Amino acid sequence: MSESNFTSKFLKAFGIDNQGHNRRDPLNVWVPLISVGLALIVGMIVIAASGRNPFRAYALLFGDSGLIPGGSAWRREFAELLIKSAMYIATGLSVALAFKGGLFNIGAEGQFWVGAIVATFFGYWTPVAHTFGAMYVALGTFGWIAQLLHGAICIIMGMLAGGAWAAVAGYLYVKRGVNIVIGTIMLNWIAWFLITSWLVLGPMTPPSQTFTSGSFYVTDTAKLLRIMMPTRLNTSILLVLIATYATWFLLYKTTVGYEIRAIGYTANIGMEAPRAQGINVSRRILQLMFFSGSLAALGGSFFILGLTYQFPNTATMGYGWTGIGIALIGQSEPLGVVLAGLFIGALRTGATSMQVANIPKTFSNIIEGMAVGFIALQVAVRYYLVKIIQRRRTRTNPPADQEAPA
Amino acid sequence: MNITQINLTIAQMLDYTTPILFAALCGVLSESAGVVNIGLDGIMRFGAFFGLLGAFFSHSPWIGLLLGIAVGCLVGALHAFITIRWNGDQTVAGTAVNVIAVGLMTYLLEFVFSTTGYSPQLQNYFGAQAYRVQLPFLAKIPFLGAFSNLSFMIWFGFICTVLMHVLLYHTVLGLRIRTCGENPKAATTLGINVFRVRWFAVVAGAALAGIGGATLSISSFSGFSDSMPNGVGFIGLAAMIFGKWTPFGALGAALLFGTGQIVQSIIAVTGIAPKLAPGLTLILPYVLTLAVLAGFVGKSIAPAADGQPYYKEQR
Repeated sequence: MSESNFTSKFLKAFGIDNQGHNRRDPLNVWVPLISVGLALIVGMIVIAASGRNPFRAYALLFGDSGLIPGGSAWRREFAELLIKSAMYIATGLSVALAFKGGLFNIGAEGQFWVGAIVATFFGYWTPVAHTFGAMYVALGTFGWIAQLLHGAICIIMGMLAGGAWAAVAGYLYVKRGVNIVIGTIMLNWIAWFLITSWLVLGPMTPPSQTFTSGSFYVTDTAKLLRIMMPTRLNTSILLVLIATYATWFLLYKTTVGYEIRAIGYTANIGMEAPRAQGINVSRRILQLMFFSGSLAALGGSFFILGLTYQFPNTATMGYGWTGIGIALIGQSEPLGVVLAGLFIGALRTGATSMQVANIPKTFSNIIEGMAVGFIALQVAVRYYLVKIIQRRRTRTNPPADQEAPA
Repeated sequence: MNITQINLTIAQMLDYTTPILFAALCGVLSESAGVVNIGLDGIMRFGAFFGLLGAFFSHSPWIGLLLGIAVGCLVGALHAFITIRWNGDQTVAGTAVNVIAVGLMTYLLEFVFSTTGYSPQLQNYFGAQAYRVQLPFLAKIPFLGAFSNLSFMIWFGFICTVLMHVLLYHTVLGLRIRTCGENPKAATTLGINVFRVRWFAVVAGAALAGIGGATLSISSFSGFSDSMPNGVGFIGLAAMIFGKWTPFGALGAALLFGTGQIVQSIIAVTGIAPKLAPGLTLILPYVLTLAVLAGFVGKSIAPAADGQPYYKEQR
């Protein structure tokens, strides 16, 4: 059939996979696409049901999302899209990588903020900040080296901390049998309250400021370089693409990645096969959680070093939760995560403009949640898809084919 | 502090406790039958908004409560449809409910009341004097005096705990529910319809989460705020685990976590210990829960088939 030919070529080109399913199953591509499509339709129904014009709303949503070139504000919107996407792709990769090893890392949220707060700390902490400040002055025209190094230190420290935070959940799972979902949820809130109700309310705030001011600001050398000058687009999108490639390489080109996938494929049936093969499952799970957490923390460091330059008092949760949606829509494949992250980033960027039509910008959450819901329903989606395909086949060449599918 | 202040503080603690308790009871019921409901935070958000909506337009908190229950059941049915009818991943479905709740409630708040952040305040809510359960003979007694003038919802929470205990441990249906959570295959062998029992547990549990949400907006507070439930659903999840998946355990854990919250606000108001940051008391529920799960303090074990989809044909 022509459609399955097309999809299998698509598959071969991108190697899109879904854990537990046949890697060559052409439906793996269609399930997330259909889920997003259905979610967009439900979103239209919600808008129409509240007496607004869904077409106008979607025109605003996608027109200002930065996806469609043209218009005076396009450069700014495109930059916003990439800035947002970089953070979402990072958390999405984090969740997706854990999925590959059969773990549901619902704690990307906590790891994101741990990365953010540690990056903030190394951004303003006097010994580090002064060293690089002095270096920046001393180097003159080569000052960008100091900027590069300081940024790198902030990001690496953030990633190490986020990875360690996730590894706590991994340790509790491996050594004490604590369910990874529950463990990471609890660690999420512990991280969140420790940071927002303690660190940025005292130890990390300037003494002269009131408690609503957030943390210290990072020094100029710690900020990510801007790469498209009138806009605030920074290097975060490039860094996250490197991280994506590294994740793909880790998963498909290294022994560790192979072992992680072996654990993931057998996670529901006791992981006997990888154990028999001599894989140290506990050790790999700990490493996997560390990698996963450090990816989420990378997103957190983008948030601080590329956007706010301090830990703001107004920070709200949501990046890690969105990451779960992105990993699911992207079917846990690095490339899929990038595409899904760009899509969600576009939704979030465009949603700001929908406020003109009196639609709150959290509208994008509805679409995102619906898409995740339809992916949870993927057994049903697959069932009806197969039914539709079969009906089309019997219509085009009716006789002999009919007996074949059992 | 004198006796009146102590009593008031205890009453306030119970106000914090009740939403946590309802969330935990939701978890207990649904996980006893083997269905994890991460989405109970989202269901509470639904319950909180629709509870307020009903109470606002009917001028009666009772209608609000009913609407909260109804919407809780509906969202629970959605969760059951995904996870039981189509064997979808329970954590993914719960996440979807949470994310949808964030977006949809903000949307509806803007649509119905044309405001952002906060709904209009209610005059008639369960926390109002007219709707409180008066037990004047207790008023002068230390500690017990706290119970002399409580919102109906707090008593309702206690009643639900007892009812849940009776349901789970002293009825045939309760035995069936627990069988489905421990060993669905054995349940099928005994002629129990696992799907039907799980549907009941999830929908009834979600109704409790809906009540918990409504408690926030029409009992503990007199309106809906956009930050609701502010993680209360997750504290409820923690309370359920800390209470070892039993109704009375959940009550005890909810009381403990409620006390943690009140200690934090006492510190904030009185300035007794300015060096002690609020964050350090706020993390208490989660740290305790992890400690219990890891076996550092006792041991909490989930129902054996918790979180596993059930396939009838599978051997």
